[in-house]
Amino acid sequence: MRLKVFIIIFTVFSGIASSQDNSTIKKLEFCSKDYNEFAAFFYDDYLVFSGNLKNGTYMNFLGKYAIFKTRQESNGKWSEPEIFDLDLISNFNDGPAVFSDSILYLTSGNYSPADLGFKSTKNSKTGLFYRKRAGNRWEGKNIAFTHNRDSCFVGHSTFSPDRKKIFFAADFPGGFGGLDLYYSIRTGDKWSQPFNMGSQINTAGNEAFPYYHPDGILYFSSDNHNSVGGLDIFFSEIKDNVWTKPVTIGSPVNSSFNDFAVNVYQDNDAGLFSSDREGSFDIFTYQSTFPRFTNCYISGDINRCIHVYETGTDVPDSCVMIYEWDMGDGTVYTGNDFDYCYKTDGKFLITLNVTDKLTGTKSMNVASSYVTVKTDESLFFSLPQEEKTMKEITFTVAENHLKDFTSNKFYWDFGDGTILEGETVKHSYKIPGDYQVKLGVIKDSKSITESGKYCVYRKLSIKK
Amino acid sequence: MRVSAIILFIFFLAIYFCEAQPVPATEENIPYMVTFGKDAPVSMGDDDFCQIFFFVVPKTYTSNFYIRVFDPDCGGENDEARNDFNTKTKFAVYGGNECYSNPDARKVVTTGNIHSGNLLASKIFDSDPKYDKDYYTFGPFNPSEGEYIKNFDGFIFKVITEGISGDDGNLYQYYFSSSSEKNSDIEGGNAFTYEYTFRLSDENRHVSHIYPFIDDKVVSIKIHNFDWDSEGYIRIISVSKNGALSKLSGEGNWVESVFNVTETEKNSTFDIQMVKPDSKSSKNNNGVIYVTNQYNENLPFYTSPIGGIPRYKYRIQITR
Repeated sequence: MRLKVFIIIFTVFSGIASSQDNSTIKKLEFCSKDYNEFAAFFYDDYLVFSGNLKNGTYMNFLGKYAIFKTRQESNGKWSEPEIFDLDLISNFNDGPAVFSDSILYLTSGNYSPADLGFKSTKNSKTGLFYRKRAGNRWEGKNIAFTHNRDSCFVGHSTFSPDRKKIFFAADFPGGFGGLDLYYSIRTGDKWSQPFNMGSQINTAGNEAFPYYHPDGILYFSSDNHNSVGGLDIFFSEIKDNVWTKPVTIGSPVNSSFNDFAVNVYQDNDAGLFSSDREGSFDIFTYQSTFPRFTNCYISGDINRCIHVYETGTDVPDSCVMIYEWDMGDGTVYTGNDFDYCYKTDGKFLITLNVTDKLTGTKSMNVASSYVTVKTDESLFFSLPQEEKTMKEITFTVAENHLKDFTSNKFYWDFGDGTILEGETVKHSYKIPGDYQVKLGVIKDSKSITESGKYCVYRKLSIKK
Repeated sequence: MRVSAIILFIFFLAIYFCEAQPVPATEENIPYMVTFGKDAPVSMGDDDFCQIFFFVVPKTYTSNFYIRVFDPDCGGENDEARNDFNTKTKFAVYGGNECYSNPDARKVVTTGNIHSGNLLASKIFDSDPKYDKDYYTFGPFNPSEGEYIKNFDGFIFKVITEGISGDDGNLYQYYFSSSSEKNSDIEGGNAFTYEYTFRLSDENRHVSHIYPFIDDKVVSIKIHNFDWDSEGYIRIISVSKNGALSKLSGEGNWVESVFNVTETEKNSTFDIQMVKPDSKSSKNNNGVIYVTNQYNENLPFYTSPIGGIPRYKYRIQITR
């Protein structure tokens, strides 16, 4: 089934998309070319998704979408998908769905699956609904989300890890255009008025299918943000109370077709997504071949500097003495009250020799003290604070002081969708803006599919 | 009470391990004391033509002793003639009650009763080749002839040198000796003064010292110096002063500099150093120096520094 999607194409040829495939993808074998399957996530032992597979129900006969489940058998094969729960079937198109604790949140309404719900009319009735589960039973009926509105699309919910914020897509009046992403804050049982996520995230195009990863990364789909075609998947995170410039998840996840509804695994390097690249909505898994780094520490400069002074006198202006400091690393420094930076870590013996200017006599080793210089356990690289577009910048690992991260593999994420591996790499930015440059390493004896990562970041401002 | 005991202990310790020294002492590195005839202008470097020194004989020393004066005459190679030598200098030794304890004896002005106590011996010298670069010996004295002072636990004798006439400068030294024939140390003896008039070295970068004792009631000191001809430097070395500089007087005038005393400096000795310049050091420069505390009381300079020669304590501080 080939779908036509109404999108705004905004292609930038000198774009920010990554220039190489950074993951491998695989379509789940239960997906059919005759039916649509999308928006998958794991719940208990099942993979839950939305779709219009033949299921023998009356609503299915009417062509309505429902929530399905399947599970992977011990032989690796997926079971025949079945309705997730007959009690949940409504008279409308249902999906996508998401669980928050024991509550199911469902997008349900008369939206057109062909448009993925992007077109609202005055007769639109698509909103978010929720239903609590108690044991094996569902309580009552679907309850409408407080911010559902007639003639508006409200759907695609996701939650912050503490469950105090709900993010969703809507086409409320006053947005940036098309579907925008909003969030609402819970106080007790009440949700605050929705807040538009602002121009860093939302565009004149459509932003939808948000997914909030426990690491604090917000994934979403957009047909703007220099998408390579249709909807693409992007991610952003909060730094210094602002959302960072969205970065594409890259190819082959993103394609010239609609790629959306990502669900990312715990380690951030693999997950599920949906795409119509093969003619119908299908569910794919992806596995990064390049590790993704989140929750990076801000990188500072290596600081091996100390402040040295002689403190014995109550009359410090009696400078008829010349103070000569042997810093213990081969350097001799003359003066008093000064800063000195060692080139390496270590334990150094500082020795003070004094020459009396009036008499010319020199006294050796009048005082000495040990100083231990130890760099914090971290990863260091240096950057200019500002550079110009198109200028080739060299990025080099300065020093690695991490104990369990001694591999020579260094992963760079330039914040514009480009990722590279190497101790020294070169990159130039095509579009001005503020970027976060990340440098990450993998813990010794761990593969990129397992946890054990460390990363730092620095800010870089690119001017025209 | 406890503080006085500490001072006494330090003093005993100092004098026990210290032998009697020539005056000026080796540690002072001062070539000669100088007293001008009272007719000399003060710009020669002597403000009052009088030098008073005290000698301490510990009570444990019970034998006779002598005070020997080196080059007491005023007329030889060491002395400073204005024109022809015409100066008479009187050396007098005092003991007995009030030779020290009379307050006038410990002042730097000569208007009071500086001659307090019992006159034990005196002699006037003019230009006499017999004593030029040689010794005249006063004594023998019995320690009991001095004034017993409890704080010193010893007997004090006073020697006053006065330029009673003339205008020349008499340069001389003392020796506190157990022998009349030679310089033989008196174990535990010491000497001190409240105002020093002396000849500075002619050598570039030469360092002379005086050692005032700073007791626990001193919170600040004032260094008074006279007729230094603005040459060289006067500075303080202590446990917490590493060459704090004093102002220098010009020709024929007085200048004062005040310095605070830290807690660590109390009950210790200061090393006041007088340093000649590193080049073109002048010849025959004489000067006067004394030190007072915040009560304007004069502090004694010991020829053998109480507690030893002070050393500045360097402390390295390192912060991140």
